[in-house]
Amino acid sequence: MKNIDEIIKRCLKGDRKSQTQLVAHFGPKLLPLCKRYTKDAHLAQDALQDTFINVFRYLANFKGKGVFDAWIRRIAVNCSLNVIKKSTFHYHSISDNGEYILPSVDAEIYESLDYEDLLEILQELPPIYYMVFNMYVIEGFDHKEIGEMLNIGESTSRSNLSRARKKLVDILKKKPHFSKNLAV
Amino acid sequence: MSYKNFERYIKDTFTSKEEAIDVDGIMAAVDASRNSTSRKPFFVLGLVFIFACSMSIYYLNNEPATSINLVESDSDISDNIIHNSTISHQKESAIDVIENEVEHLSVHNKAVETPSSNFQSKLNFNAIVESKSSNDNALKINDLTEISETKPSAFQHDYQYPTRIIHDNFDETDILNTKETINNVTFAKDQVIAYKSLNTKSIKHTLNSLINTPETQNILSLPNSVECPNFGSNPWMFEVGTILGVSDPIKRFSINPQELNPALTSRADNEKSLEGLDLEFFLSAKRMRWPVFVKSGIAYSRWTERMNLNRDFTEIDTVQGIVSATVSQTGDTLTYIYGDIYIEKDIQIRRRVHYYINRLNIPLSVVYEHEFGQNAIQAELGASFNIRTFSAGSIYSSEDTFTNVNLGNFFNSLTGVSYFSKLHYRRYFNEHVFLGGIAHFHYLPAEFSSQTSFSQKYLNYGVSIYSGYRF
Repeated sequence: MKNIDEIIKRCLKGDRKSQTQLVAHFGPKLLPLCKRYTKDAHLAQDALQDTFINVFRYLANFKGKGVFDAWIRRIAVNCSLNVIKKSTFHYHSISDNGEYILPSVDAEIYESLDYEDLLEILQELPPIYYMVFNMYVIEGFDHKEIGEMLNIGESTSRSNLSRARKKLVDILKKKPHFSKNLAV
Repeated sequence: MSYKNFERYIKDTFTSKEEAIDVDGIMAAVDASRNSTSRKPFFVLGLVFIFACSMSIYYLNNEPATSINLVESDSDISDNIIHNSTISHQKESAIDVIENEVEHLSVHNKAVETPSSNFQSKLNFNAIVESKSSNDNALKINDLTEISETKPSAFQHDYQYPTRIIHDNFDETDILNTKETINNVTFAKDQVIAYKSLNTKSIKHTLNSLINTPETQNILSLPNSVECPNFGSNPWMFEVGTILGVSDPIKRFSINPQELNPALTSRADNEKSLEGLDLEFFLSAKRMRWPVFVKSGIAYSRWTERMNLNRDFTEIDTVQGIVSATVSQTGDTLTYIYGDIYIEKDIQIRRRVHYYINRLNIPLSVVYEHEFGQNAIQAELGASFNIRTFSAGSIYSSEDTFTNVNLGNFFNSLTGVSYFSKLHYRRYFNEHVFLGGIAHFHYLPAEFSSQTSFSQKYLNYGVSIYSGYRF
């Protein structure tokens, strides 16, 4: 991978090869991000396409302030949120009939959880908690930014994050995976 | 591990995750977006331009009838002698007094055309009753466009002949034609008109006095059967205009019986054609007084198909884990039962997705027109030759998957010849500008689907409004 600044310059000149390089470099990282927000593979694809459409449309606006990676991730988050707003797609987990043993919580167990486990746990958060948690903890946005992007108040974002953290721990305590790992 | 470390662990896990992507698909979507974006401004600019042109033409052709281009103000025109005036009567009752002969018009200052709006200054137009030979300073009839009003006191002879109005671009031949056509309203020869101190303030007054003279009253009461002379030599007349309308495409969708594709069945049940948009620029050529003429142009239409996907199903996930654990009474033995844990999820999918079919056609038609007064009805029959069909959006392709309609190559890029009939009503606001409405029906025999698994054909009907310019 060449220097990203060089690729951006060539992209701005309309060099298709560099544009393809940019997509190939950032696309694989952004697709999981889009999936995390949209919770649907097809909507994530749509969001990813929108992301790159916007990236190439507004690339000239990237002044080099901050990291390009953060800039492009922010666009991806916005596009994912837009896709969710546009779509009437609903995905409800209505019932969960499993029987669980609820072991006590031990922090060392977290390390054994992989990507899929963590995603599954996070997706059990109520939607607004899930969004705020993702945006604050993973993407690193502050509460003001989150409030603007989700159209909620800054304080609401802050309280949602606190509740999300508490809820997350509760979910973890209830997870069979957790019990399994504890038993090993 | 502290909770902060746990969150850092989550962040690292998520940000390091990568998945394979379809780079070509994304680049195709980027290209498609770029093309559609670049077309939009031209489309909007085109519409604005056409609208602006139509409005300009309309207003230019509806300037007040008092608009007069005349001789320069403050110029004294004296010793003007005008013989043998003829009054012609136009259909709209406009009263033109046309000079048959302007033999001796001597002008002290050069005659200059002056817009009526600037016609504030005094216009001294002295015409003295006398007969003398022409000279180099004679005011040619073409130099005058319209002259109205003289003071009645200016006439030195017993016959008062108050005004003359001369149209633009009349030449000697035109005048002679006029004379021949309306010779019954020609005044006796050697009647001489004197003008004095003509000024614009009295134009209206003079017009009124003109209308009230017995001669002009006779002219005004001419029967409609009197046909106005046509001074034009070009027997052809052309029209250009813009049509904007909505239509209701009627889709005929059928599935190849050999195909067992539930997505197609779902499309047949749930895909609905929404209203279409039509835009057309037309040009027609008509021979004077012929009721039939030909018409062509370029037409764009956009149809929208909407798919509502409603799927409810239950998904069962199986994970392995500890189903139960028991502790012995003594508390020193812990017994686990390890096995499958079933997680049942009821899933509802509600999704609404659109795709669009855009067509670019060249219509060619024959029109029959029947005029009555300022109105006309037209019957039009023709064929439309498709030069490009392009689609956009997402189409339902399988289970809960929507595919970019371009990537899937679902539709033909050419849809052949279609046939249409139209019924027009139009109203002429003047000799150039007209507005109208259309009801139309299109029959499109061509197959839109490029796949063998399904067939998609259309009929189309709708209404439009239009404006145009005739010249």
